[in-house]
Amino acid sequence: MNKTSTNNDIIKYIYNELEETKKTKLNFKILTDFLINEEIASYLKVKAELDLCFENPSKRVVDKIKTYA
Amino acid sequence: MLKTELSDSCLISLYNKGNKEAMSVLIDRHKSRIFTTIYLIVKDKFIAEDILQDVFIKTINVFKNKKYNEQGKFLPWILRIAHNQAIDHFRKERRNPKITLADGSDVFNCLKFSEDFTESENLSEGTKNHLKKIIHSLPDKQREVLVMRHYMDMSFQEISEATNVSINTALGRMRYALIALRKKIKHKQIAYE
Repeated sequence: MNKTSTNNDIIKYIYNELEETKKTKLNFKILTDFLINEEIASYLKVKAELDLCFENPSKRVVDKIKTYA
Repeated sequence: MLKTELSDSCLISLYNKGNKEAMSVLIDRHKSRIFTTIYLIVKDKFIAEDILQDVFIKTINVFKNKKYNEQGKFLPWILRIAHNQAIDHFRKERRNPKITLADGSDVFNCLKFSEDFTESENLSEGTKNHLKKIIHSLPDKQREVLVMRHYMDMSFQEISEATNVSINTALGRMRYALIALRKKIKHKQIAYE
């Protein structure tokens, strides 16, 4: 596995898109390779922070849409 | 009161049969994800609200005219409409840049949103605003992939098709976006310490 494919696999992994066989291999690497472990943990932390960015529109706008409906 | 566990498809079907509450449930269920997607592209809450309204009006008109295609899923479909409208606005905006203050900040950022922007999380306004600023500061192509994957919930394969790039390019852009975010979040944390 070259570096680019590992990098791409890590991104797929954190978004739960990695193929099952590759996932099993990466799960093993997470346990044995400190750098990969740390990298994935840091991405997951950013991912969790992104979840905090959800916004709500104002009630006024939502009410206008509902009235139109 | 309509049960909120009903699928989107059921709610649409009920709305088409005249049940207005079904549309209300559908709007409440998805308004945050759709609004956030638009807002992270156009970077302005007022404009994002205008676009959100247009998107829902278009959607409601499709339902009213019985033109909704039941084959696809509702959320990806409406998110695609929202994304396209936001991108259209973003492109127009680039051709007609808006007025900025001497320090380069957007005039709208100085307005206080006194009204009713409710917080979805018990997170300090400062932290949340900082995160949004970081997302807004990403290069357009990285931000596009980030919004599509994280907020629109599109797969990398779908993103590569929608943006006409290879899946590896889409993954690479996402990776650079996450690295940039990680770096900036860390930098801010160090600055606080």
